[in-house]
Amino acid sequence: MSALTDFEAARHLSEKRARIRRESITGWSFIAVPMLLLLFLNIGIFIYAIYISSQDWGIMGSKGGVGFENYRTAFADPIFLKAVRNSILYAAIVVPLQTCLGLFLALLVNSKVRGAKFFRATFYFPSIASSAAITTLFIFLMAPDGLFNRFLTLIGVDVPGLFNSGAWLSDSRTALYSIIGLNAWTTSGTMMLFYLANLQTINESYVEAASIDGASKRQVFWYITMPLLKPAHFFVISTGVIGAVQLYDQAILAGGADGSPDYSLMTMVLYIYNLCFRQLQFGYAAAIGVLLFVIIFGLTLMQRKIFGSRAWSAED
Amino acid sequence: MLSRKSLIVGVVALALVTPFATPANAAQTVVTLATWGSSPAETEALNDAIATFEVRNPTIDVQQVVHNDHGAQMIAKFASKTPPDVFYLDAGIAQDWAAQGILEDLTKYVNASNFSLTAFNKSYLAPFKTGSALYGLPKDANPLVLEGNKTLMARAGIKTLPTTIAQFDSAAKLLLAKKITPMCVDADINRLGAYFYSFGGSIATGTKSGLNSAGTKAALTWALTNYKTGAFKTPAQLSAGWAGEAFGKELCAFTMEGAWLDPYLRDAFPKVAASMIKGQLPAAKSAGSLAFTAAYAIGKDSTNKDAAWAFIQYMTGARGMGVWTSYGVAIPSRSDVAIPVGYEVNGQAAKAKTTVTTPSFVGWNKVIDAFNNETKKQVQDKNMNVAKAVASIISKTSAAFPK
Repeated sequence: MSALTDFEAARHLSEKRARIRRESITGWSFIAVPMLLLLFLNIGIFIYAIYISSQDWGIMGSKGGVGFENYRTAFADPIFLKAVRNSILYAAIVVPLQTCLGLFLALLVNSKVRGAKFFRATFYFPSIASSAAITTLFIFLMAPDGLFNRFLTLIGVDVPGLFNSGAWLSDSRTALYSIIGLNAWTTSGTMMLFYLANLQTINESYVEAASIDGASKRQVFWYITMPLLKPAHFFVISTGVIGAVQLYDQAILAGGADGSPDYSLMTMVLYIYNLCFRQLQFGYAAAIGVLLFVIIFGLTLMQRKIFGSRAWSAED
Repeated sequence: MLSRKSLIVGVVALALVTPFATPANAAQTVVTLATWGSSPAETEALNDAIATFEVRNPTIDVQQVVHNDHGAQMIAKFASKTPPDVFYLDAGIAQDWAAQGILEDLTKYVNASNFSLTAFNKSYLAPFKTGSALYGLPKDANPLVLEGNKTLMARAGIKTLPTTIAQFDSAAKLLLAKKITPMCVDADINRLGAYFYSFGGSIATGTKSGLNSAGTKAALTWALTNYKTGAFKTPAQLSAGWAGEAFGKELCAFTMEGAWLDPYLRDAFPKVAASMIKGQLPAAKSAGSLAFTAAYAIGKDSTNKDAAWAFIQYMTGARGMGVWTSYGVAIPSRSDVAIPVGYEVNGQAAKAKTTVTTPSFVGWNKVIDAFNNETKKQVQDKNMNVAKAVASIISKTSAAFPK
């Protein structure tokens, strides 16, 4: 009897292992194609870019290896350093702005006011509209005789006496900040959606319990809602930083491929474009791309350390 | 909703017919021509010129591809070894592309066809030559000239276009007194550089900076002083995309552009086109101007090189160039092609010994970016110290020249 039982147990174990193996093979088969694409199109291309960055690369390919020369050139290149400064300054201002605006809009839309769905669609619209179209309209709005300056004139501001006669996007002192204002508005809709999704998962019982205990609305917001939005904070800020450091389309439309005036609109991605298509220095451009990756990766790791490795919830 | 039987009959019919559906004139060679986007007048002129070529060459069908970003799109095609058969090659980028080994040397085609180059203005051929190799034939030329709005000039009591720097300065004072912006010109080396030669300086000598000369410093000082006093304004300061638009909207009395301005004004601002007069740029020590040119070129990996050469030979020959330039979109780069009527001033400027083509060497774009960035930074400040600004512009631009 015991021998039969041992045999049965061994057979069951063997069948279980075979089933697990079959399920694993099925699972891996399903993800094999997208994984291969990821490997080739993302990781493989990145490794190839690292290789290109070690070469003097022309339109038709490598003209010879240069080792780390492209990286040494980058750290001594005032235009690259200015591009890094512009990209990080832009991210440092735009991310908090779009995060706060996105959270504010999400709280507004989540507050069950009349027409919440309409407002949600309206606030999200700039995020789905064409970036080039919005930037072109913005250029008209911010021109010396544009709507913005006409409004300033109406409230008594001496526009011709302002920076560059009110040509906000053509003055090195105001061009980047003008783009910051534009993008904080256009991206806030997307951030609003992320916050809204998280807000709607917060258990009402926490808020009710706090209210019963005598907490004010301000206290509920700061001590209940904000901590429970931690996953959204991390996601919004991480994606915001990644997107902000890669600013390109508004910069090239407003300032041209040379990032003028005074390289005030030269960002890292725009400089990569400039090096590739105006100066034909593909190896150097690849090196800057690798440095951009390092910067973004470093910033993302830093944020992960600040926010912690797992989402905080009320149960913890 | 189609019945299943009808659907099957349709598919079978399509399958039977498709192998026999060939384009008309299957024996024709198709030559792809890649160009940058242009005005309706230029499009019409090019289409006409192509049509006259095709009549004379019935076995060649030219198909035009218009690029939104010609440079970037051409580079992508070169890299994938699928360049068009013929393409526009701007003088400013010609040496960069030649150095990349992507252009076909046309010397053997020129020699085999006995195509004479003597009628070409040598300065328009120069940007496309490297040593003994020739990478493009200039399809036209476009020097900068001074354009004036007679209506605005009359308001300030100015009867004729200024021909000297001193006359310009006097005219500017009169216009400013009437609150009319005298000149709209971008802070761009491809505009202000025209005055460097007029003042006895230069932009470059070969691949070396010519900016440290007394003439260039004088020209820059004059230009920056004009920006400071308001005699010059950039298009951005006048809410315009380019100086031609500002001129068309009557936001300025003068501008300095090439023949491309005429068809643009006729289309968009016909009233201003009718009141426009043209003359040479104001002269300092001598009359001087900058001219722009572009060539037809063939790629090293282009497919139909013989047919492409036949097209280039025609379009840069007297007959083809005559058709192309007859619309007034550009000036002939050959001396044996008549200047179009109404473009005598442009034609004189194109032929003048004091007109130079924009520099063309590997790394020229970096110099352009350096000059434009620094100059635009300086002119935005109403309180700029002109001498310091000139020194800064010269220093930063000279640093961008190839070592």
